[in-house]
Amino acid sequence: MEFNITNGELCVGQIEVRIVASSSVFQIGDVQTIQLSSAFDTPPEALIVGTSFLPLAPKG
Amino acid sequence: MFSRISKVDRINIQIALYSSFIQIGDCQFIDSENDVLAIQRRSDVMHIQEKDFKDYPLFQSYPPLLPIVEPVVMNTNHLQPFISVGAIKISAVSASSVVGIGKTDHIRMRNRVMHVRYISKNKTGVNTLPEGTIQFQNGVLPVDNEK
Repeated sequence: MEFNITNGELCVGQIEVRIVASSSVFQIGDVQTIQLSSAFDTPPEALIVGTSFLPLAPKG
Repeated sequence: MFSRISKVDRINIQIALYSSFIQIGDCQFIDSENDVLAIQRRSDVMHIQEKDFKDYPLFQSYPPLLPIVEPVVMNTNHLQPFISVGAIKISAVSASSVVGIGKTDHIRMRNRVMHVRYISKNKTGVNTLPEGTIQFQNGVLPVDNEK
């Protein structure tokens, strides 16, 4: 595949960002490749009701 | 490869924390990883046997990043040699994030977050949510009045 790009003038006045977090990227400039991956887990078993706060027995 | 010059007049970053960085200048490779295990509980006692990252299946493997193998011939023609930005204001950069000004060849960012909430029963037998839990009323998100 041949991919031809013509970039004209790029001029931005003002950027306001609250937070860049959790392996995010804020980039001003040319990039060849970007790969991003994210996994977020709050499964039903992550909400554990009525756990006793006794120290657990050490693993054998 | 000829690339443009990034021109930023003013940049204002208030907080940069937790392995985040601010890169000014050209860079070849950015490879960033961030693992978070957030446990909320209503207890002041640290257990002797705490859970570890490896106890959760989320942290046992990475989500696959596919290799870039497509034979793409990319021809770029820049009519202007600059990317110009007047002012940037960022409140916070956190948790292995990157603010980059300048050319970068390759970027690879990975993030894994696991949330666990332990909810304890109080004396009346009613479940109490951990401190700091945001409860939505009627399923409506709280409105951000700060402006």
